[in-house]
Amino acid sequence: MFKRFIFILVALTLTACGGGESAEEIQPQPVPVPVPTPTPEPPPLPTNNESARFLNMATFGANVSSIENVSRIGFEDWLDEQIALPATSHVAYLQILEPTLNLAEDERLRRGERLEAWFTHAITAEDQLRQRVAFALSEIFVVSEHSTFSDDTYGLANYYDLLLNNAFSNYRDLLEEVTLSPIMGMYLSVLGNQKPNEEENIRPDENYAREVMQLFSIGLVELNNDGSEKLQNGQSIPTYNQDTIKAFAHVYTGWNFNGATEETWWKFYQNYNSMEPMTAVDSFHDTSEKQLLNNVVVPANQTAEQDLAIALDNLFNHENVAPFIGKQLIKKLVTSNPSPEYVARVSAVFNDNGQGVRGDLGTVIKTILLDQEAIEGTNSNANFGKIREPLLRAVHLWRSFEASSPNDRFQFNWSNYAFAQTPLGAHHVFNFFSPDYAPPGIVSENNLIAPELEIVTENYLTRTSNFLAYSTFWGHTEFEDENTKEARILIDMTSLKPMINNTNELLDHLDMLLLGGTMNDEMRVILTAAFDETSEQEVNERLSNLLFLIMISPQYTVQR
Amino acid sequence: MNRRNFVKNLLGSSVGISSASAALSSMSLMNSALAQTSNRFDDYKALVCIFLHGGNDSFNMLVPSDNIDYQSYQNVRQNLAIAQSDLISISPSSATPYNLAMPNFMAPMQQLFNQGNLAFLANTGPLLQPVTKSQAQQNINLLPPQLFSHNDQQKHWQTSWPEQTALTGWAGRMADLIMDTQNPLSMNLSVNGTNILQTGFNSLPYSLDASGVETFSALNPNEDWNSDRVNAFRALMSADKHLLGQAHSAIYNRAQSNIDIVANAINTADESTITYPANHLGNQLKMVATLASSQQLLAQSRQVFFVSMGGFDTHDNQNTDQPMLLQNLSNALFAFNADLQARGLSNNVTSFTMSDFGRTLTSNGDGTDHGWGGHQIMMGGAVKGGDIYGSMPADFTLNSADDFGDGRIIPTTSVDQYAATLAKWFGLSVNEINTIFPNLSRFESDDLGFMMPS
Repeated sequence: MFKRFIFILVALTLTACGGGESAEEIQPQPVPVPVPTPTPEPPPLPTNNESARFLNMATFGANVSSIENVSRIGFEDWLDEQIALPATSHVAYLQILEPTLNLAEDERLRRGERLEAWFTHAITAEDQLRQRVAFALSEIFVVSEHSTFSDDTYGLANYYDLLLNNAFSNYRDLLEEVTLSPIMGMYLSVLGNQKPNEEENIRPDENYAREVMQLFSIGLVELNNDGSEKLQNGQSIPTYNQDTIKAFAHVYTGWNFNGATEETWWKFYQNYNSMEPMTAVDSFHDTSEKQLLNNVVVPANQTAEQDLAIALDNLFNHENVAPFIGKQLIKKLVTSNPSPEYVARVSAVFNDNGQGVRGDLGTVIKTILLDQEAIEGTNSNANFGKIREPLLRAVHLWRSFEASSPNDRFQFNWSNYAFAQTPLGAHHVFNFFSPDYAPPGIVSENNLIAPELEIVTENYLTRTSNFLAYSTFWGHTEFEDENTKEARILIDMTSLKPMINNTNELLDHLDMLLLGGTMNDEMRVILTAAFDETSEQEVNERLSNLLFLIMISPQYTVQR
Repeated sequence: MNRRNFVKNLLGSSVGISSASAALSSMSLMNSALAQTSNRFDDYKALVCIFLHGGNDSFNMLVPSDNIDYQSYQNVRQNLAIAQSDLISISPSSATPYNLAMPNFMAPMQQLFNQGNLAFLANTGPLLQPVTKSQAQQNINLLPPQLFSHNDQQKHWQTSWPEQTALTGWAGRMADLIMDTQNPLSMNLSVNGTNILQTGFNSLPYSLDASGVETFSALNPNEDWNSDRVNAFRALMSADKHLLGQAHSAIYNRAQSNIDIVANAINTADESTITYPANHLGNQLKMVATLASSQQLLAQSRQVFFVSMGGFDTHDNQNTDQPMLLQNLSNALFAFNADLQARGLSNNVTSFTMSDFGRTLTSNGDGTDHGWGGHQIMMGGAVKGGDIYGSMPADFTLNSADDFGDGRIIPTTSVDQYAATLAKWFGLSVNEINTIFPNLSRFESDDLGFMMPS
């Protein structure tokens, strides 16, 4: 019964997500061609190893079928296919799940079910690129369950759907939907923000005004297109000051839950609606003139919507957005230390997708993943790559080894304990880790950064390693134990068994799935010896051990 | 950057702001520090940093109590003011510009204050040098970089060195100078994750959490059946030349070399006889007390602990959230103090708060925005308690000379002075302190006087 439920769900999607809208319908320019040029050779199709390596950047992890698919159609067609796929909705998952749970009247879905939706889609959804990019966006446009709406399961899932739906839309649309999301409204205080009341010393709330600039759009200092800081007399140049924040804070006044009115403005619980965008109540909106960035002025006496449109355009058109957002997306998907040239190439596409459109995220994502630096990897830069996010190491294992669960549900509630990470569970708007974190020692000494290491403390490294042991030795479908009857996410190692007597073939296969073919000879020699040493042991034990060694190796821990 | 570069770096930056002779003396200081061995201290001391994440609205912790002064506070704070009937009075030993009281939800802290175990430092914050309102308005370069931004101000608090390009914290630099190089376990112990405060040029904190340390399962080298696997893993680590991979392996190595000794210390320490409040800070402080009482087993004569508590960024619902936060803080401090007393460690362990910034005195409707100066809390037997140090703003009038706008109060004491006072008690020499706090000499006093002489 539940298998069918999952099947239905894959087909079920949210309506029109607007992914990859080439909405411009640009007519090809009728350029007269004097000499017939030969059609350019299509790039050679990738090998399975290349496909797997590509998928490990573009998805939650390669598996056999997705590798075959990419090797058959090539990177670019695969990206186009993925961008065209509609979003697999997290809200829809909950809506289908809820009636099957026979909840009592006073019971509601809880965070466990929200995370179940997340793990299910991360592991099984067809729109892998979208799911992966949305996760990256959830670490930039941060909201968190550590807030007043902690038990609003649908509201949080709906925010996640917003990120999914806009993963390949225009950044301007994403920014607007994020700004008007009631979840974000509650998280960073736009919701209920009101015009000044001088008698009571009340002035507009500056929370969102500040963080949307510092974290979601332009950052603290002026940037060149290649991501480097602009300098004036050797000093970086602040993008905004306190007056700018105040002006934007005045812009973001008058918003409340969808449908709230002047009469109901103060009735939080009566108005509560976390599923639809906020709407404005103009009597609570400040109508003074506001001086924004780059000498843009919001005229007096406008509505909340008019003010907001100017303000978001003002942010959207700032030169910083391309390098600020583009570089973060590169860091989340591909490499912590991109070259300035790589960042500049992505910024250029952000600023103009080739058809005169600014902010086309679908094309930006394609550019990031198809860039020569991403494709060449450590072949051109020995320290290319990134520390895999601890949570995503487990998800990768589950995806690559066709995870299943005894109760057909992917329930896993203690992600934070094992990884210091839970989807939409950061402790503050600055995400689990800072995009610029450079751990002391060998990384910062070489002027590199490794953001993910900010959450890899001694204690969490140990827990993650233990979780991977638990998931390989005790977390496969043939492990006979009371535990396997519980809600567990289990890997399937049966496909590896035919290779048990051919260590080379087995290592080739694991190299492809987990390392995208980057296993070097030295690693292979070590693993071969380690595997052959276990020849007296039971087959599953041997395979678990080998898998575990790869999963905890620094060679795997750095996606490269 | 290695330690010798740290020396060069410090000299380079200190030459500009202090005299050449000071630079020379720090050079000899550093040379002697390089030879530091384990025998420097024959007593035990610990510092406990309690970081209040988000920016505590501390002008609601110390409230003018007499009618006319309360009125001026109430005028500016409006719907965020603590009701006068909810105030409980305190009598600091030193004179204050007006009588002060605490909100009743901080009653346990009032008791500690009255017993002389707790003191406040008034209106402290990140500063580059002492600055007046008109100076700051005329020259933006006199302001700390990215004033009012959470992570930048947290950095300033934790580094006391906003100009540095590397990110080292003052407790980390302290460890660079005084750590026992024979001891594999870091002097800096974090009970709540990565932080800059405890990161040095040459020394790193060791992180555990409130529940203790996790021990390795399949990688436990103490179990025979793991030995082949552990050896293979070690071979994989040494085979990887990728710098990010090496950094990850370094964390593994630190975990591996410390787990047994720390786990053993926790397991053999006396159980606490005190009931802590069931909140995250209480759990963390309980672990700190456990580790402090294990200092002999850990062979540590000096320890710095980092714990933290979130939720202080009260843009919304401040009247509901802040009392709860400060109540949790008060209860946790009270239990921790009692635990240390029961363990006979009260005079050895000094706790102190830090927080991003104070908050605007004015309201944004139901909360406050990012401010600047704020009050901090010091607790322990070595603190000259029952008093308020630093200076309270003369009054609470908006647009006064203390108000940088909307009730963002310009600090009158710098974070450097605060930290230096703690470092001095901890046993660092004047020269060492000037090395660790390169901007300290710009302020009038390098000892705010809130610690007992050591």
